[in-house]
Amino acid sequence: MKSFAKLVKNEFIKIFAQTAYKVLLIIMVVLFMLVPALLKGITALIDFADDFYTIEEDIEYYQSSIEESDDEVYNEYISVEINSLKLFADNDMGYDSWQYSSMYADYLNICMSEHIYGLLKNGEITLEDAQDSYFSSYLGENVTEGDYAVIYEKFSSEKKEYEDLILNSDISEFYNKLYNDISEIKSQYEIYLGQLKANALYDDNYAYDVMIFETAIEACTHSQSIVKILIDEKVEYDSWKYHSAILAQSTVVGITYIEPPITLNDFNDESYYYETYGNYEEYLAEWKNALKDRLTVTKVLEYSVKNNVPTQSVQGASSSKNTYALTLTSNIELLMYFAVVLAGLIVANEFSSGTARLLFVRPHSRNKILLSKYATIMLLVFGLNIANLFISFIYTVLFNGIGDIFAPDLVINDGMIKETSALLNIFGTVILSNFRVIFIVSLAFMMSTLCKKGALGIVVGIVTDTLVSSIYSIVLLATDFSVLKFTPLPYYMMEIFSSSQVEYLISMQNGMGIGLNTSVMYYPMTEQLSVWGGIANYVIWIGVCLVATFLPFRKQEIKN
Amino acid sequence: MDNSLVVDKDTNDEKIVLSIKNLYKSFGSKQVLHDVSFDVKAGEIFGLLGPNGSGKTTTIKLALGLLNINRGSVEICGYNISTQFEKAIRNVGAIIENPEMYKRLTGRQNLMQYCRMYDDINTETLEWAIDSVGLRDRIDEKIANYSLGMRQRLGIAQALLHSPKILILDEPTNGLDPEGIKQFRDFLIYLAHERGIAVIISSHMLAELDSLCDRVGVINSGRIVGIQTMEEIRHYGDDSVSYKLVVDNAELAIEFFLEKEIKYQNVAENTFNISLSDEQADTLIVDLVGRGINVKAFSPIEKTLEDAFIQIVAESGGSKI
Repeated sequence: MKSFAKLVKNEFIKIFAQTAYKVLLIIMVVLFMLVPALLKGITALIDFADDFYTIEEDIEYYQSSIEESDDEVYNEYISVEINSLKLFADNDMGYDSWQYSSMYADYLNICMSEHIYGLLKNGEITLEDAQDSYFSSYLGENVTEGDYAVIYEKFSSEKKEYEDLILNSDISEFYNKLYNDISEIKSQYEIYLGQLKANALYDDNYAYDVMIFETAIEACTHSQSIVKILIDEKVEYDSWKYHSAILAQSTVVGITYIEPPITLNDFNDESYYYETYGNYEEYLAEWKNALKDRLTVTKVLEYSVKNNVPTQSVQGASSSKNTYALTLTSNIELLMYFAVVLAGLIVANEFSSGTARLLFVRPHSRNKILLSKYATIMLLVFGLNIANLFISFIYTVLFNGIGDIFAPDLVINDGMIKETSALLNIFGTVILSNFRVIFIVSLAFMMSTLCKKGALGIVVGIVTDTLVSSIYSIVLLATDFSVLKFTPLPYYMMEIFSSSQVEYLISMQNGMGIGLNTSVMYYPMTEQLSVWGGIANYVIWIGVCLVATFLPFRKQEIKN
Repeated sequence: MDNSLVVDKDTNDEKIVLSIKNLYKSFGSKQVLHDVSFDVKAGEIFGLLGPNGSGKTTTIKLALGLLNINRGSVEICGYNISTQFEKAIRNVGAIIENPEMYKRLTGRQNLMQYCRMYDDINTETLEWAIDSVGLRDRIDEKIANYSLGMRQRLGIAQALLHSPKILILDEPTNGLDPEGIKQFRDFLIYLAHERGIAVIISSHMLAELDSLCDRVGVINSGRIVGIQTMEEIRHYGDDSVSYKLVVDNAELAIEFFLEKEIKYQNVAENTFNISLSDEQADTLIVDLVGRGINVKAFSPIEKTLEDAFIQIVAESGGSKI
């Protein structure tokens, strides 16, 4: 063992005596920091955040459109919108303020109604013209001329009250409103469910509609519970807890938009369905799962807010844990390329420079010397992974702050929501990602050793990785892995096995997070595959590479 | 000086350190070695002499386990190189062709590379090897700055580091200046005769082996055509002596040589080099004059080692140098 360690030491000395490797290593460490920064930049670009207009810019735009238009009614309509916006703009309440988010729509409605009834009251517009104008949606039904003044007064005083509310209320009133909105939605669902059950015989989709509304009502309960916490804790607007509540609310609403499953006849008529699901039972099971997933989202969000465990998908790019994981995984690819270059050259260089003749006339077997070279690369890969853990951590803390980096992850276990160690999961991701690195490095090592051509090993390693990665991205699109799971293809990127079902469900609801904002994806395909299958697959392939390297090398002639 | 290098000369004199038996090697369909056999004893300097392409380097690479043996065996200190490689090679220090080392490392770092491949090399031995090859002043420079001669010397140092029982040196004086060659020869003689280390040195230049080797194996076209002491080589073919003969009629002279079965070589107009036994030499002039051939000059040619070597190679039916 001691003599083997000395051989490994020799290899390290040889590697680090070469300026090219040192430069490559420095470039890589710099890239460790740069690549994630670049990715972050791209994410920010795709976010389009800078492309949104401010409230002041919109006011300016509306004013210019009035100046260009001769349509008096249109100009009246737009001027109401301008005045409504001005209330917010003049009081520093931008589009991102909770006041705007929660009250603008209602305030605009009141202003529009007040304005049109003012015009009607003063005889500046006839009812017929008003009904044909942009104001039509703000006119009540069966309104007569005599009502104009009364209605105008009603909206006028409502407007004053609302303005007072906008300018003087605090956020808990906003949360109260949110709570009441959800409560109203819930009671509407309950009424509808009652009606549904009463008219059960006349509804073909009775069972499924009941299922949908029962689920929605349960989801409302979780959503209410979240908003209650916002009220109690006076949670800051735009915080992750606030976004969790908004997401829960939209999930609740979304549940009732789910269409009941199609009938068996329709299923058989639609090739898309039977090609996707195979049989009707499978389709129904998937439908029920999709419904259950929505409910799960509200449960997870409730757990998250209640226990102060933020989810990455709600936070998006601002999650430090997410940034750390993203930085780590993107750097592992870089690390692999460095290791492939080393693997390609570590043996081939001995032959091309003629040093092999003196190296292999020492009291060590050929395979022991070869193994010391392989071990050196593996140790470097290990060392670079450790460096990656540190550098990525520093990068994350510098650019994102500590944030949620030490917060646990949430998992669904037997239908229960539980906490697990996020750092352990991150280490798991790193370990799983390295199976690919070890395989590609072993392949490059094998090719360069057998052919004594360093460039060949490097090219084969990189080309194989590029090709298999491309094939893998196609394989990911598959829905049925019953055959594919016996091939190496679905296991190429093992980190999918450390992906989070919780984050996946939330990002699906969030409409964001996939690919760019959230690195910890969940791949439903992992339910059909086993991590041990993946490990066995890699053990076989790496084993094949090593046997194909070491076995012939024992008897390889050293001619030059 | 390091005591570990001292070998008891008296007890090792007759001990066979390297034994090559019936070695055959082919590359593809080309047979490059045929039945090569020789032994090297402790304290002996054995020259492997042959023209370029005769099989010297192949023999050495087979002896070092760098090439696979088709047939035959190589034993070093009783260990078979094919089946007991590590035990066998532990006793060998080697330079094969140009000793290429790691250019980015200094001389010392290069030597340390090899030191770490053995269990028992101490600092004293390392320093002794550096001093022995005269590289003390330049040992901490990167070898990219070394001349070919300096690299050869470093190559010799690495071969000596682990106190080998046999040194196998393939064309080791390439790049050395005359002064360096002389020092190198003296050093090898010291190692062999004073320290009892067996030395095999291959060369295509006879002069390099002259006054260095105890025995020389002449190899030609992959066959050992003779193994002799230097003394034996010098006196090879001494039963006949070469003479230079100048006559006035070459045609008549050639008729005479053919009739008497005298080996001749027409080297210039009317001038021949001929091989004669003592009896033939005594009567040659009388016989030629009797045939009407006037002898203008007749004198013995002093035979060099080179001539002996050419003769050995020529008699083996092989190519000339």
